[in-house]
Amino acid sequence: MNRVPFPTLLTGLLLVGALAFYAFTAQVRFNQVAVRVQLGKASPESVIKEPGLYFRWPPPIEIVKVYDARLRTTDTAEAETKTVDGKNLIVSAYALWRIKEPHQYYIRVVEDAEAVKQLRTRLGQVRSAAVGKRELGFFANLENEIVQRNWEQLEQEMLAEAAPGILRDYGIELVKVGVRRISLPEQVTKTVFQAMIQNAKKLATQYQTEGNSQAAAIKARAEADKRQILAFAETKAQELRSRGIQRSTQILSQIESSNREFYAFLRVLDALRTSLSQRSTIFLDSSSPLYKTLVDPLDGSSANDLAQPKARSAVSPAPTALAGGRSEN
Amino acid sequence: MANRPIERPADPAQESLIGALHTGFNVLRLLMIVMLVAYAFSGISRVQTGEQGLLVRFGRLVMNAATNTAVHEPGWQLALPDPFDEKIRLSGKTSTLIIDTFCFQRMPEQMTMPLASVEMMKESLTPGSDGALLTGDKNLAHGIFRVEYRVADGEAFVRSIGETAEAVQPMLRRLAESAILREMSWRRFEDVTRGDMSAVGAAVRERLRSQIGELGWGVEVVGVVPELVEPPSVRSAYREVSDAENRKKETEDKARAEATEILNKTAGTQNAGLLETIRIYGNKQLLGAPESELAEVRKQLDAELEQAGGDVAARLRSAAAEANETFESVKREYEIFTQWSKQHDRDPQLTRILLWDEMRAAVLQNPENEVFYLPTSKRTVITVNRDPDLERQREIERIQGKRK
Repeated sequence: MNRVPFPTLLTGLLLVGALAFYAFTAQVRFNQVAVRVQLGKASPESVIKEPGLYFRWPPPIEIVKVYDARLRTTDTAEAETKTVDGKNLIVSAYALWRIKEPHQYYIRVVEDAEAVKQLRTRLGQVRSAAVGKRELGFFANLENEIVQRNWEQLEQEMLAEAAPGILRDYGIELVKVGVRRISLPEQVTKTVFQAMIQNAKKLATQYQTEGNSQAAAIKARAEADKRQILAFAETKAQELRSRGIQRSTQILSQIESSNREFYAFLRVLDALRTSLSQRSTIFLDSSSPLYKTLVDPLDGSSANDLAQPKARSAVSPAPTALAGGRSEN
Repeated sequence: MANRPIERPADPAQESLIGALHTGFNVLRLLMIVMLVAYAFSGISRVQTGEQGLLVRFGRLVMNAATNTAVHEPGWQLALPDPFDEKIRLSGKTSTLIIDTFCFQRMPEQMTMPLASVEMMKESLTPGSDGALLTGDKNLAHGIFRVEYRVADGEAFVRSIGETAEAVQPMLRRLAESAILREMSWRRFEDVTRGDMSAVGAAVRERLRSQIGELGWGVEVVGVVPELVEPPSVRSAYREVSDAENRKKETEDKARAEATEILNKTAGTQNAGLLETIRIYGNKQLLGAPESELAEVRKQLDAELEQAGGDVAARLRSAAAEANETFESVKREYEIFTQWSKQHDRDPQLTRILLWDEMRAAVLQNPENEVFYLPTSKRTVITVNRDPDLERQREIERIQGKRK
């Protein structure tokens, strides 16, 4: 009898070992759960939830049905639902789910596709019921806190409604249920767009009016500020002028009281000279001392009349009829 | 008699064949040994920078003693060859998920265009194919959201989601859609389409972060970039709104510029400080502040008025000049008075006649004045010449006279 060489024997043993390994073991990964099915029968005890390498009888005696236990998502179809206030909404919901009871899952759905189908049906029913008993304003209004509370309430309600039955019937745990899309029926969108156009026109007019009134207010404010500044500036200017007058008064106060009448006389002369310096029409009538002197140079009274400081007023030496100022012709 | 093997004479050809087979077998054996060694070491791999490595042995995650997690940091990783160990590599790069659920249907060539420039011919939306967002004020908007995310915790990710960064996208998409819907459901159409879109993005990102944290996915949402637009069929109407808003801003800006000009012209660039002090002064007056406090503010106000420019400066300069002029004029008059007063003290009558005479001469000899001597009569009629031609002629003569 020929002796089998060791390497050949080793190789053969390795091959047989490998075949036996695959035939008699089943591996369940960290993300999986499995159900042992022996001769077509599976019991709750046959569930494998822990990862590792497990012995099994080779198929067809025993089959290990492995499922991914990680999260998955399923949507409902978009379906039109009437709200309690008679508005039609097209709502699509979704669910995040995972396999919780592999035995139940295996018995009731076997394959994932069937699970998805069942989930869609259940979720669709729950969604329609939840949306149908609410008003449109429940889903959209300008009160942030209220809307968020509403959404929270809706999601919790749908989850509470669907989760127990789905777990019981299919061994599926619903982790989260929510609404992913809300649409309006085609005809309604048309109406909404028309209303939006009207609103836009109103808004454009409003901006125009606001801009004009705002601009007017800004300018009015600036004018008011200007007036206020100038009022304070004018007060300050008056103070400056007043100081000038004070200084002038100080000079004039040096004039002795006996000379003040002469000072006044000088001022009157100066005033006459200034006021009758341009394009004045002067009438000298016959009663004027000046006129008398002109007609009768020897009449000394006229000259005396002119030079009497005490007997006449400061203005009296001037011609008796002076029409000062600019003539109108 | 024992049987002894018959020794055959060596055949050189056979010997040569046996030798060649031996050599071939040895080469093959060597090759197998090399392959065996290569296989034994094939489990060694390197986790690249930014990646997270995980090892699965007989279905279980192999823990990293250094970190007490299943994640192996960048560097060499020792593992058994397949099929004993399975290696998982998770990229640390940021991935992008584009959510166009709320966008109207676009043609392939419109996919890369900004939403605001995509036209839609129909006047309504078809449910199912055209997406839209219902805003808090019951209007409709469209939007595309780019959700940027990365795998932050490899172990949590592979346990709950999958083994590639893309595996999370179906679930992330649903969470994001829900978050977007909720965020839009309380906002005004105006605010989301023409206001601060990034606020919507930030709110959606925060909502996603919170939910993903609760679910323990090991995913970090880096950012959410929204592109929100009004429906194409109402775009022109809202463009008019934008134009009106721009015009409003322009009008206001122009008014502000005019206001600044008015105030600068009034008080120079210091007008703001001056106004502030005036307001403080006014408030103190209203509140019945003590006189000392008011005087303090008034002092500051005076100082600011003195430093101000524009009309204020002109007005103050003019007042100062006027005051000075008054003073100088009085001073001059006083000087004239002092000059004459000595003579007046000596002979008041003569001095007055002299002065009066000077004045009279100045008035009566002034060529611009007209003097009429009225004769003694009971009735004197003065007729003023209203001939405009004569007046014009006189005016011409006067101007010519001045020039000479």
